[in-house]
Formats: sequence, structure tokens, C-alpha cells
Amino acid sequence: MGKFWSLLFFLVPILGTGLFLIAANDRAAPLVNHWFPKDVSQYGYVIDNLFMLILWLTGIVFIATEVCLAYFMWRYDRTSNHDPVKYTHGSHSLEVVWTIIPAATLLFIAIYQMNAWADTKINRPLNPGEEIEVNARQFEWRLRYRGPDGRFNTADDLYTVNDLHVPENEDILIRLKSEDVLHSFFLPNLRVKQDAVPGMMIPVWFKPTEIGAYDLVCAELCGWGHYKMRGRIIIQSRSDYDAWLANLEKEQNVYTEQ
Amino acid sequence: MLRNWIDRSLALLLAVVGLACWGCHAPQPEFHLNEIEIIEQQAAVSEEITPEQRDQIATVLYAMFGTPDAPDNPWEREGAHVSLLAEQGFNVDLLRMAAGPVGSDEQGNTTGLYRLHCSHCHGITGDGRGPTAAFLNPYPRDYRQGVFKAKSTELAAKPTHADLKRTLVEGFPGTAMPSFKLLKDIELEALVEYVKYLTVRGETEIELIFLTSDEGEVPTDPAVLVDEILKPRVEAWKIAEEKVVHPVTPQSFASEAEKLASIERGRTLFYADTGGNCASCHGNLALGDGQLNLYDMWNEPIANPELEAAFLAVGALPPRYLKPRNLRQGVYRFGRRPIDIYRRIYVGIAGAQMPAATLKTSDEGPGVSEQDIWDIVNYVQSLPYEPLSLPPELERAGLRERL
Amino acid sequence: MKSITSIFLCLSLLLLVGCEHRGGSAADVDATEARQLYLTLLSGEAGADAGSGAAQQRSGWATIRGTVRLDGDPPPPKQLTVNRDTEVCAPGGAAVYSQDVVVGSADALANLVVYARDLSNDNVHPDAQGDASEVIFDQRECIFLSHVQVMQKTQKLKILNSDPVGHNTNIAASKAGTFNQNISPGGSAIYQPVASESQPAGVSCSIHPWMRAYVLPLDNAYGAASEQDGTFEIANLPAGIEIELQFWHEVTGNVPELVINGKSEKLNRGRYKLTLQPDEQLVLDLALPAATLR
Repeated sequence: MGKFWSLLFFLVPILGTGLFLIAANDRAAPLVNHWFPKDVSQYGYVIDNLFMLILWLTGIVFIATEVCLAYFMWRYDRTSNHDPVKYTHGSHSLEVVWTIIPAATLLFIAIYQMNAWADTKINRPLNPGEEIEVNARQFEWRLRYRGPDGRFNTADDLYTVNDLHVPENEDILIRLKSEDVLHSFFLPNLRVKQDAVPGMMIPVWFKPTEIGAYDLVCAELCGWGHYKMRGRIIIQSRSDYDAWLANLEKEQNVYTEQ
Repeated sequence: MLRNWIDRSLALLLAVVGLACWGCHAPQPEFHLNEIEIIEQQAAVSEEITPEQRDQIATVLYAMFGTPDAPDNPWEREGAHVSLLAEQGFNVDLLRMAAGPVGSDEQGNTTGLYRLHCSHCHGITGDGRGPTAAFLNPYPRDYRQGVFKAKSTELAAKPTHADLKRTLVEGFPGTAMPSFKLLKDIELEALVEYVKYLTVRGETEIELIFLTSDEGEVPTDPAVLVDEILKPRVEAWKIAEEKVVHPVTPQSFASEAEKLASIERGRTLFYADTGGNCASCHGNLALGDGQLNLYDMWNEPIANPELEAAFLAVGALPPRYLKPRNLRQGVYRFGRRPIDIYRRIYVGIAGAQMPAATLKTSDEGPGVSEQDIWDIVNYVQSLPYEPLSLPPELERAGLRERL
Repeated sequence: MKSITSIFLCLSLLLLVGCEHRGGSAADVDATEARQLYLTLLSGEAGADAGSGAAQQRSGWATIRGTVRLDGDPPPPKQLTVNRDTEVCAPGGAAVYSQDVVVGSADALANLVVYARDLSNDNVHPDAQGDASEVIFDQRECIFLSHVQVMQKTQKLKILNSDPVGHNTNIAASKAGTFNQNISPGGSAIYQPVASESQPAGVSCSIHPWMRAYVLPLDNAYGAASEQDGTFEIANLPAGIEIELQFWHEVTGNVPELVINGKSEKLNRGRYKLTLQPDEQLVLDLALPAATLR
């Protein structure tokens, strides 16, 4: 019985590693689209690299631990192992080793990621190409552009819903607010994720590098409609973006529909 | 040991079978009768609508409008499938896309759109009392009276097709109605068609209940059902396209100074009795605190003190007051374009208390001119940016701030 | 172990039981009957049954006139809450009372509405239909001067505002057409009904919510509301055929009980059938029992 269970446990690292390998090989159905989404931001690679580093570190440790576990279950199964029990008072040096090594690893990761954290959360761009206010509410993203005068809270602000347009290759600063509950502004293809906290205005920034339409989803459970709180981020060339803004202004100032 | 093993497997099997049975027995959604209307009519004539009459009404509605899964009921006549709704002008392909349980067809298009996107607020019957409705303020729209607030047409007319589609695409800011901009165009069309279907069904049901209580029997004469009840209600949607309100003189400004002058004129008109008289409801500071005890047409019947308990017992939502809009927030539910606000002032809002402006018949006479209305529109649009309306200045922009 | 098994067993049974269809449907649909009805509704069948109206022959015209009294003590007057524009609406601080029960001298009851139901056009006198004149509907001191206005649907209701404050007149008529217009002091607005109503529709003001009146657009002129002295008259009614009169009052809705010419009648839905003789001048002495107003 023990041997059966030990084989079962041994399957865990095998299947786990297998899943990752198949997913990383993006062409293998049924796990297509289960690896990183396409990265269209300038600094997304930092997050991806950090992910891979941590994955390798934890992956090696994981496999090693699981193999040891399976081996011990197999080797010391009650039905097949008749060696007498050995009693021990523990090993002080072993305990020191297996405390220091993980601690050092963690410390290494903590220091290694500091730059990535600072770049994405602390060092906001001082001259962003565009500033957009994103108001998260149940269950949509309400967006406000500055309009021709370049200032928020003036009569020429432009409003739209779920439809975030940005110019490519420029620093974009998002002023993230929430109208009701916690939401999370998640752009998978730009490696951007930030909780929207009611009562706070939180700046978020990124620099898109490729033209196209990508997902904007909510990543913090916000109610019964959380699953469908989706928007679209459309990265356009600067001229297309300006044209779209001009069109939005025209649509918002309609005095007649004849 | 073996017995344990068998015991456990057996128990697991039973649990799985039990769960499977639970899942397989999900009850099919059904339309339910307009209980509120029934109670109202019974109170109006002091006569009960009998259970047999209720069954008959349900049967007539089933014959005319089908079920939530099968709206168009094409039974065979002379070997061919004919559909009453198709004869009346409904696009039954779109209806079928929107109706039924959520799934997808062979081409991968989603079906059951209404149930997927709308019914949890608006209800299977379109009565605005879906499971989430009780948590929302304002309540979702009840389609069955056939009255819609957000439209570009005259007060008593239906919305146009473009109005309904715009509602889906833009949503209503300040309410729980979201924007469905990311749906495919064909899906939006299907939902608009299904809303019209639910509206016509609801209006027909109200008329049937009224006739039953007024005359003591359920009408089953085809001439009455189709020509007198169904056709006018379908027709109303078609002629709505002709009832769109267009401003005669659109606004244009030669300079910023002109716009400011217009806003000043609008300010005077807003607060004057002889002008727009807007402050009498919207408040002396336009904060929406001028009238606090008014109801809209959906909540007013429920608030009747004699019948309120009966209404709540059949599942009506507790009545809520209709607050005039706080114009300093810059939240415009039915559109923020100047023409949208113009239409709110020119037509009023159907089902609510917002009245239409009366136009002057002569230059000196009472009322407002069209230019006056544009002045009020400009003033209203400037209100959210007045110093009184703006939040306090933030000193260091760009950092995390507590608001 | 056995106890765990029995627990699982019980749970499974509970799930099976719990999944039973919860309660019957609110109304049962007869699918066969529905199908048969459906087939008659498709084009070609509908309208084939051309109006099978009563084949009675009208033999002339007649008039009904009468007086309405309140039989018994009127209910105590209800005071209205006047909380807006008090200088205009409650001048001198005077109390404003509801006009739902208006009793004049000699117990005369005003605002009881009498109208004939469901008359086809051949049975309507040419003088009693198609009137396109204006009916004046005024408001002063925040009171609608005509508390109940009966009119023909072809007439125009000219709504005036004789107050120094603005009013918005909100007519909640679902069939005749909803109307809600803001009327400046001294201004006016025209309401054109598009159809008749089966019951008087409520008229209110959003700015002064205590204001209340009723308007009843009819297909013809066979309707009247009793005046302050309780009198009413309906002329040129068809004689020789059975006509159905509807009695309505604001407090009772359809009048449940009425003493007509001394005889107490229990009215079904407020309706009373009678046949007039040609050139008859029928006098109806009506008395409304005060108990119905409570």
C-alpha cells in the first residue's frame, strides 16, 4: 500500500514539471495560451525574467523535495522494510544548514527584485506622453482623457468606457481610482497589475511597444460581475491616437443629429 | 481493510450520483405573470381575477410569445412552420440567438445572450426583478410597461432602435447598467430585438390583465388579440423612428466669450420661475435636493399604503424615492453630449417627473425659446467645473494620494 | 467507518430530495389550447371574425340628466401638506384641504363621473363626436380649478397657469398619451389626447406634489362630471339599445353601490345597464352612500 502511495506522490513532480514544459512550448495543445501572454511593453521583460528566476529556484527545490519524499515513502514502507528503527536526537548542523540556505535564497530574491519593484511602482515617469484617468467601477472601466487643454477636471475632458487607447512608444501614466470597491487594473500583455483602492489615486505606468488590441481585465474580486469586467487597450500610432481623440471630442459635442 | 475500501468507494459513488442528480434537475426558467398589475387591477375593480383566468392569460401569452427558451413558437400550419412574431415584423433569428440557455452554436457564436448578460438584473420576464436587482440603486428597468427613460424621441413615443443600441454600448454612468461595447454587433442587435420582444409581451400582458378584470373574461378573439392589442404595440416601435426630437437651431459659438455669455444667461434661466424653473426640483444649489418625496412610475404604485404589503408579498422591490439629479457631479445617465441634455430639457423624461419645457409662442410671452434651452444646457454642462463642485486641489500630483 | 458511510448516504439522499422542482409554476399553461389559439392568430385567420356587434337597432336619441347627493356624512376633510411656495399656495397661512370629496349645499356631491361605455360609432349622434374645440384647464393658488375634466379625445386641453409660480402639469394617461410640461406663470400648454381612456387619468404637479386632478378623454361626448350643485347632463344618447353607464368617483374608483331613483343598486364594476326611449328626458336621482367613501 505504501509503495502505491509513494508512486502516486512521485507523479506530482513529474506531472508538475511536465505541465510547465508543455505550457512553455506554446504550440502544444491543450495548453496553448497557458504561458506568458504576448509582451508588448518595453519593460515587461523585467517581470518575466524575475518570474523565470524564481521559477527555476523554486522548481529545483520542489523537484528535489518531492523526489526525496517519494523515495523515503518507497524505501521505508512498512510492508517491505524490516530494518529496526533508529532513534536519533536530531542533527544540529543539519538544521542550521537547511535554515541558512533558504534564508539566503530568500534574501537574494528580495534584493534582486528591488530594482524591478522600484521601476514599476516607485519611479514614475516625469514626462509621460499621455496621462489617462481610469475609474474602476462595478463592472466596467470608465476612462477620462484630459482633452485639448491638457488638464483634468475641465469642461473639455473626454469620457469613454472600457476602451483605453494609448499611443505607442510613449510613457503612459494612468491615474487609477475606484468609484466603489476594490478592483485591480490588470493589463496582461503589458505586465501591469495594480489594485484600485477606493479613496486613493494610484499612479500606474507603462510603455507600449507594439500596435494592437489587448485585454484589460479586473484582477480583484469586486462582486457578482467581476468575471465580465473586461475592457480593451488599443495601442495606436501617435497620429491615429490623436485622430481618435479628435473624433471622441467631436462625438461628445454633438448638438444636432440631423 | 477491504470492507473499509468498499464502504468508502460506495459512499463516494452515492455522493457523486447525488450531486449529478442535483445538477441535472435545474428547473427551466419560465415567464411569470405580472402579479403587481393583477393586484392593481383587482383593487381597481374590486373583483378577483380567478385562478382559471390566470391560467388562461398564461396560455394566451404562451401562444403569442412562447417561452424564455423558444420565443417564436412556430407551430405547423398546412405543413409549413409559420411564426406569429415573424409575421408581426420581429427578426426571429435574432430572437433565437438571444433566447434560451447559454451555449454556443456550431459556428461558435454564443446563444442565450439575454440570459448570459441581462437576466440577472432585468429578470427572465424583463420585469427588472432579477436576483441581483434588490441590491441595485436605481432598480433595473421593468420593460413590461413599455416606458423607457433614455431615448431621443417625444415623451409618449418609444425609443428608436439606435437609442436602445446606444444604451447597450454606452451603459448608464451612475447606475449598474454597464457598457456592452465589447460584444459583437450581431449580439447587440439580438439583445435589442429581445428587449423589444419582452416589452411587447409585457404590454400585451398588462392589456390582457386589464381586459380580464374590466370585462370579467380573458379575450381570445384573434381580432382583439392581434389587431387591437398586438399590432399597435409593435407599430409603436416602428413609428418611433419618426418621433425623434431634433433641435431646430443647433448651437454654435463664435468665441469663448459667447459661450460664457450663454452660460450666464443659462444661470439666470435655471433659477428663475419664469425661465426653466429648474431649481424648484434640482435645488437652490443644483444639488438635486429640491424635491425629496417624488416617485417614478415604476415605484409609485408600490408605494400605495393600502396595497404595499400585498405588492411586497409577491416580490415587488421596496419603493424608492426618485431623486432629482445632482447636476454638480457631472454624471449624466442618458448621455453627456449637448444634444442629449437638450433633449432631456425639451422632452422631459418619460416615466419620471422631469417635465418638458414649454416653448414661447411669442417673443415676450411666457415660456422659453430654443436659444434659452441651449443656454441652460451650457450652464448645466459648466456646473461640474464650478469651484463649488470641484474637489480640493491636490498638492503633489502623480503620487499615491488619499482623497 | 459505518457511521461515515451512513453520513454519506444521508447527504446523497438529501441532495436527491433537494433537487425536486421547487413549488408549482405560478400559472399552468395548457399547451394544446395554446397551439390551437396560436393557429387562429396567424394572418388569414385573425380579423376573419368581423365584429359581431349587437344587432340592436337604435331608434332615436334621448337625454339623461340628474343630481348626485351624498347619502350620509362626508368623511372628515383631509388637510394637505403645503410645503412649497406657501405665499402663493397657502395665502395667509390658511389650511388647504383635499378636493377628493366635495359636498355642496343640500348634500350635493360634485365630481362623480358618469359616462357611457363601448358605443360603436353608428350609435353616436353626430353632434356628440368630433368636437375639436379647446377645453380650458386652469390652476390658481396651486389648485387645479377643474378637479375632474371630462372631454372628447378630439378636443384640445388648454392647460393654463394663473399663478405667479411655475407649475409642471403631469398627466399620467397611458392610452391617451403621457404629458408632462413645465408651464411658466401666465403661460399655457396644449394637451392633445391620441386615444380615449377607460378610466379618468391622474393629473399632478411635481413641484407642488399635493395638487391632484383627473382628466377623462372619451371617444364621444357621452360623459359628464357632476357640478358643484350635483347636477349633470348627457344629451343625445342613443335610444332603443341597451347602453352601459359607468359611474366613477375618485375615492371609490368604480362606484360599488348607488341609490338610483330611490332604489339601491349594487353595481358590478360601477356599471349600470339601461335602455332609453326615443326623445326621453330621463332624470336620474343618484345618492352615493357615505359608507363607500371610507
